[in-house]
Amino acid sequence: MASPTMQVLPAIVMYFLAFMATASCANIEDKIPESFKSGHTNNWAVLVDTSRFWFNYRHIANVLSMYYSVKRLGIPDSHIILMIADDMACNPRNPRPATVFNNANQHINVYSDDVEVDYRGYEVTVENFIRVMTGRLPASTPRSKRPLSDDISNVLVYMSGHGGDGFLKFQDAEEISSIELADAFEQMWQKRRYHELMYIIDTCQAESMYQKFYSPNIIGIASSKVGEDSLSHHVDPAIGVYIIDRYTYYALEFLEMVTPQSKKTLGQFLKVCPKHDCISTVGVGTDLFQRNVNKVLVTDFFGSVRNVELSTVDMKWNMSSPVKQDQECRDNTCSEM
Amino acid sequence: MGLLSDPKNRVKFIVFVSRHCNKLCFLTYLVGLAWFIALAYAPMNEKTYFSENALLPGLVDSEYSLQRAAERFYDDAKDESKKHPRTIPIDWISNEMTRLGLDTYVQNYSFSYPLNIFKQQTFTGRNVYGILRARRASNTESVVMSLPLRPPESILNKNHAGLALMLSMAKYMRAHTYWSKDIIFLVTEHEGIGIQAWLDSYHNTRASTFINGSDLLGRGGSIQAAVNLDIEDSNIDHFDLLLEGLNGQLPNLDLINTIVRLCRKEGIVPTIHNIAQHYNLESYEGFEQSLQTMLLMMWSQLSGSASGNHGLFHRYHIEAVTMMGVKEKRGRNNHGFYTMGRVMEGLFRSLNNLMERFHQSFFFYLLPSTERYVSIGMYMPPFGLLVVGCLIKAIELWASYQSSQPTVEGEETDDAVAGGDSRDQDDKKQSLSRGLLSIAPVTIISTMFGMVAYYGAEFFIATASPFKMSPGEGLLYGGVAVFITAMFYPRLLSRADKDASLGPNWKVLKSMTLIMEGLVLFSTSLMNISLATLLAVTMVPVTVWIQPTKSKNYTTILSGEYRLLRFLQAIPLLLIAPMTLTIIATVVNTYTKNPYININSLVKDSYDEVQNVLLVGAVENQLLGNWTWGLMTLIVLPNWLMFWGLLWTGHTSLE
Repeated sequence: MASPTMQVLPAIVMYFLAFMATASCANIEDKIPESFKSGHTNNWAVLVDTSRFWFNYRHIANVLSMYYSVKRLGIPDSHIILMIADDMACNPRNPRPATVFNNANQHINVYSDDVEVDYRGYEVTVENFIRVMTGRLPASTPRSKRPLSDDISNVLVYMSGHGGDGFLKFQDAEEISSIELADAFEQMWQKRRYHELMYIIDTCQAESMYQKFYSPNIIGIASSKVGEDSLSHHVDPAIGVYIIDRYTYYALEFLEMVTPQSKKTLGQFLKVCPKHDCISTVGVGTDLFQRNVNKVLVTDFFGSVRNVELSTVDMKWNMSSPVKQDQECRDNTCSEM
Repeated sequence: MGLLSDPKNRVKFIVFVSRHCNKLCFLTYLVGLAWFIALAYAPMNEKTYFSENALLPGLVDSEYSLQRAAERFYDDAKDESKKHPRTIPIDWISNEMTRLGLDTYVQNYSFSYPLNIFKQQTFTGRNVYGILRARRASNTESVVMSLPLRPPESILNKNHAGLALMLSMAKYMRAHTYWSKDIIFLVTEHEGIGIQAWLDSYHNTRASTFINGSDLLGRGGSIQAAVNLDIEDSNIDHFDLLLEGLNGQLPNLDLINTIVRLCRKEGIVPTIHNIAQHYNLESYEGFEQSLQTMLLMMWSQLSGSASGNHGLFHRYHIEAVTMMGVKEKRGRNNHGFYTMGRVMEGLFRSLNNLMERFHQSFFFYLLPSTERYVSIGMYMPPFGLLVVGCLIKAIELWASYQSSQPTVEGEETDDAVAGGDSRDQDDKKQSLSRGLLSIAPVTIISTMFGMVAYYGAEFFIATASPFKMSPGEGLLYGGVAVFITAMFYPRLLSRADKDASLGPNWKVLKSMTLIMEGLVLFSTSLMNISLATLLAVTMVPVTVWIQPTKSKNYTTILSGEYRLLRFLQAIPLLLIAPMTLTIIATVVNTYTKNPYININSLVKDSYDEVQNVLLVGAVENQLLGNWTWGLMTLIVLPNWLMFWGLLWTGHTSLE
């Protein structure tokens, strides 16, 4: 005849084993490195230049320099949507054909061999931009023109061109308003097309473009406040145009120091270009952003970091696999070896 | 309700105007004149700025260094031209251009002079032009560098240095690939005629029946801008910019601004009418210099003749300017082909950046100095004040005429209801016809004299040669004859009208004539502000002031005084007649060109000049389309004759 303790003992043993199991699981959790916890697994970049004409050379140079940095930090072309409204490299007025420089010393040709422009020339329109962001593209759109971001992607959106209070001018013919942009981002959020989004804009009165955002997890950075003009940095006298804008120049200077392993934080990036450098005041909108910017890595948005960690600890994963080790599978059938 | 649409307010306005008419006229004229003059003072005008962002003037480094090639071209050009004393070395230029690699073409043209001056003899000429094609662009647009070349026997600048500069620029530009528009290097003969023939053939138009250009074999797309070169020597002192085009049209101000900026960048002084910008514009000397520049520009614009070949481009909506390289006798003259070439290179690089025709900056302006402008919005208010006196006086006269009429308006409807009293209606008709239609004879005769003056030019020139006079003399004496004859027409009218019952009511005549004058002045101001301002400043005070003195009651008692008053008014009126104005203007011009002249030479030179002025005016009217001659003879002269008729036939007793 079993005593009451004898009847409860299996339960107690089971509870103890379960406790041990959970304890060991908690241990596994502790052992997972920090860098796997940021919540996103892939990065996308949408880089847009909205101006055309030879005297807007600097806007194209801005966007191509960002493209160059972002690619260097690991985001592949398949994850970048590059929209450029005019062709500066092949513009007949370019005394250095087939090149676009972002600096008067002409050290880096940002329009070199492996530039892949997705939307070119007259394809850069407000409609196309919003379709790209919200994913409402016709089925025939090629893969390279279609951002396939999901709810675990971090998206970087960079725009450069001529803007004003509440609008951004596309190609001298149309404008996108800040409200349209905010609605497009809200559609993205509702369709779970981003995990976190960073919006950088380098135009005049740029701050007005992110002031209307209302979706979560967006951080906005603008090169000037409402009522201020963003200024260009310097002239290249050999080419005869203003070659880069101030905010982008100093942002690129910062990004040049960033490597894929860099631990530089977003907080440091937001401090780039103080007033004595940029002359306009850099605007930052972090009220919709959930994390503390001082704990966010710059490479969370600008790079596509595939982390490899060597672990010295054995970890057993409680996962049941459909394929046993002594089985061989071929042609959808598995048989014993 | 508005001031002029509400009847009650309208009456109040007219009463106010009538009461203070003379004071208002006097005041507005003085204020307008003073304001216009004050526009030359720096705080009253604006600093020039670039409206077209695409130009990017002076941003790119110049790389031109072919000054030695230019000097060789200069020597060669001088040698070649010695071989052709009466014409220009077209074949040599064509060869040189082909050697430089341009698409070279020669155009033949023939022309004759209107008004039978040379008995319809046709002359021929040739233009040569080379097109530098932009290899990387689509060849839909072009810019022109043009050059008037003169034979050794000409009294004007031969322009061999300009030719050398152009050829070296062609050589330089050929070596570079950054051109987005074709560049056309054009060499023309016979001043404005050659360029007009080329432009006509290029655009498939026919501006004048007297100039025939052969079809062009090569073309370069639509022309966006043109620069005309007139360089005196291989070493110049400064660049003088000639702006005034045909009929007073001016190039876009952005083109001028670009040239001024580039000249400053290369260290060469740009001038307007050979006057540079004063270093202290707010001082009195600065104001004096600015005023002088502005008045010289207006003086040059008012004749309606282009001051250079560039003036013929303007009516095709091609912005063009002439850059004259001036060599001063006592200047440093230290700018050679190197500086000139770099300025031209910078200018063409900026023009290269354009994507559209010049349209952003001003087309109507006056320049008190190279870096300050007076736009149409700034000079129209003072001009308006100058002329508004005419209209105020016209309103006052019409109102006073109306008030002196018996009121028939209220009675008319009652009569119509009552079955119509034809007698009253006849009276009303008669009083109206007494009013407006009475001025018809004066108007018709004045217009006829205007037409005689305009169409008679050919006749006067034709009758000159039997009398062994030159065409200019014939035109001068013929014009004077018409003028004196015209002055006698009031006597004819008053002789036909002994009891002064058919003569015009002077108030109606003066009112209508003033309105016509105001209309003429305002319309002209929209096209050629300088001509309109000169006419306004001279004509408005006199014409507003004159009126026929009282006649019937005073003929017996105060006949002497009556006649004296009329003569006192006739003298200023004569002074502002179109013919006298032309003569006075010529004398002033001759005097300012040579202030140390003695009285005999002044008279003789003015006599020659006045013939020139009349002849050129009449010839250019038909040859190139300069409408100043037509305006002065067909419109201003009849208008003046109506005032003259007013003075001598208007009767105050019949109101």
